Amino acid sequence: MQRIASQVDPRSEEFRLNELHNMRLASELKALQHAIRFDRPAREIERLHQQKKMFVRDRIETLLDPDTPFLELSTLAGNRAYDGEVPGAAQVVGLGIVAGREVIVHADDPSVKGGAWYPHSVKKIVRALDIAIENRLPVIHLCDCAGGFLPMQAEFFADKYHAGRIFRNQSILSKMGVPQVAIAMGHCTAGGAYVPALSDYNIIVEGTGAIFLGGPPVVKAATGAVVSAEELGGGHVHTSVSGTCDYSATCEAHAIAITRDIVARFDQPAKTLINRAAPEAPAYDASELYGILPRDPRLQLEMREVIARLVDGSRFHEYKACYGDTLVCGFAQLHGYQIGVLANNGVLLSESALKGAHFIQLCDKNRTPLLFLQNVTGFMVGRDYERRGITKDGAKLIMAVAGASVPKFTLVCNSSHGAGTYAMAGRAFDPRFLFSWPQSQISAMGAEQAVGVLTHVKAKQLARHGRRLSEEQLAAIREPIVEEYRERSNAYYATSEIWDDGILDPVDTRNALAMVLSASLNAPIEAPHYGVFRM
Amino acid sequence: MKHHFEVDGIDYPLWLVRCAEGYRLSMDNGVLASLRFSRQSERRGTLTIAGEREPVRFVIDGETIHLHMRGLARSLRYRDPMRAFASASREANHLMARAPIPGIVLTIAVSPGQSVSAGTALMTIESMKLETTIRAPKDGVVSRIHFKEGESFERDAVLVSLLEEGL
Repeated sequence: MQRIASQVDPRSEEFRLNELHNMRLASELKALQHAIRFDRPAREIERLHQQKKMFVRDRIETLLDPDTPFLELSTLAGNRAYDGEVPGAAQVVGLGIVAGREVIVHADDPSVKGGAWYPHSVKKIVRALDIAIENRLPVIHLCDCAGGFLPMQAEFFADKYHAGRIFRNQSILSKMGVPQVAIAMGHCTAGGAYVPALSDYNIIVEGTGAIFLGGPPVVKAATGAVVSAEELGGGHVHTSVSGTCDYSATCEAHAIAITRDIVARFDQPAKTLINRAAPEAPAYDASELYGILPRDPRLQLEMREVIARLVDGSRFHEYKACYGDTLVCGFAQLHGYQIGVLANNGVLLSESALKGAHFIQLCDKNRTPLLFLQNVTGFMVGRDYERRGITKDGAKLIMAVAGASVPKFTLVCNSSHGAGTYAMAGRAFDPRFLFSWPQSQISAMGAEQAVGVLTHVKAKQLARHGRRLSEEQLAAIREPIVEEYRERSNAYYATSEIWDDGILDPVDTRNALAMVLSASLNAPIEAPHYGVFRM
Repeated sequence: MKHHFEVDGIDYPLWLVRCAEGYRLSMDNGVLASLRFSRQSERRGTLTIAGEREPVRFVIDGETIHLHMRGLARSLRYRDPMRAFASASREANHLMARAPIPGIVLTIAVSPGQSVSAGTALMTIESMKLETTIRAPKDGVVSRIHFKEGESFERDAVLVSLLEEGL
């Protein structure tokens, strides 16, 4: 396979300015992640200490195999909601290794609002369990949840992907033979009570763990009875009377030791075999990505330069290089795993869409997972393009993306707009994992184009009454749109809403992709089959 | 969660990390060393620590490994975390004798302040026309008897509380 020859000059002024800009973005990301992980009011930490509870990060640290990587997902979920008062949406979710097995860890964070579930907490847990289902990954739940945050119940209770989906997903995992272990480390109240109850194995910590549908205040309100948490649903009750729990632990460390022993006994299914070679580092250093990513996301970015800093030996077997060249397609290896890469090098045209649809089918037949590198403003518009069938060719690409049976992974590198978002395996197309880079932008249309469309519509309305759009009216349309885009089209808003699985520092991307590729192979790959391609 | 080994009464948490060269030993005090082991026979092998080859002889007896290396003999005891954590915390707790079934107290055999050893009869209860002796689950001192003779109790009720001796 040929090595990509980089055209980038690391001594140029442009490179240096980009580097300064992107390194600042990366350090801002790291600082915010650190704050969300560790900054808690002293009184919350003191309360945990009094209750003899570990901080959620220490619980996870104790659970995982020492010196193994933990890929935390959606760290910044909810960072733009609730005035920033619910860091991480009061949940920690990630992919880690326990007793040699790849597992999903899901932990309530009792140092945030008592571990109460907010709408974003529910979305984050449902997503964690979707990941477990799609990739057949066992789940460890570290439960310490006060129940749903009732003032916002309308936003997390009744709908299809609301809290009920957590319990549905747990049941489906069990039915699939993918085991779950839950530890009741604190009160597991109301919906939270079903998490340990629906896990194949569960453990309760004596003294601090308790499980009940209604806590003591609810029982008092409903029946007038006064009952302590321990009497109502403590470790003794559930392990020797009700049978709701399987193991009783004297402390959190003991419960974690039992969990590790249970996981060590899980049947270890053989991973799906795909084409593999010995891993090799890229020929170009990943840190050069800082100098390559443009400061202005609207500027063109040569995606082969990005590919050269992600894949083994920077080697890339490019497919159909001269045709439909706004979509770069080709084979590469990432940490030894063969992947098919589709990367945007400009706006999508009919030819690029046809090439992409064909390439996806090649990869699917060949059991080659797909990596989508998004930098797309959309499909080309205009009379000539419509006459040549840009819409039906775009439909072919979307049909291929949706139908592919091999695992798909998506990275929003720079921009992601319009139907381009969909055709490049956006969230709706079930990529196994989707990550963003800090400066990326995602929206239905770029801000300028949206202003253009809306002012045009307004001008047409006025023209019917023989009037014209004034400068003030133009500004009145323009300002709120620009403001809306500034607020809600950036990567931090996207990750807050859990449209992705997290923002990655570009230099960490290769390792993160290797981990999720490895995890995805716990699930078998179905035989290729597709819907009808519009010819 | 690291593995724990005890040598001469001292606890050593450690972990083996797989790496390209074999394994890396990681200890709590930050000591790191590359490690490889090749076994020659059932009780003999060569251990390579940070590039230095050492012939070793060993016997594994349940959770204890007897090791002879560099002219010294050592015994390492593996501490199963499930057992270690369970006993560490339980020892500090109050002890309780609970009712296995609902019933009434027939006779009480001990009084508060009395030292008892594990298995000492504490009281006799009657339930479903069956007499059962309640015994001390562990050594300790009787701190409280929760029911009088003739009183009835529910299942799981604490009948007698004990305190650890010396507390």
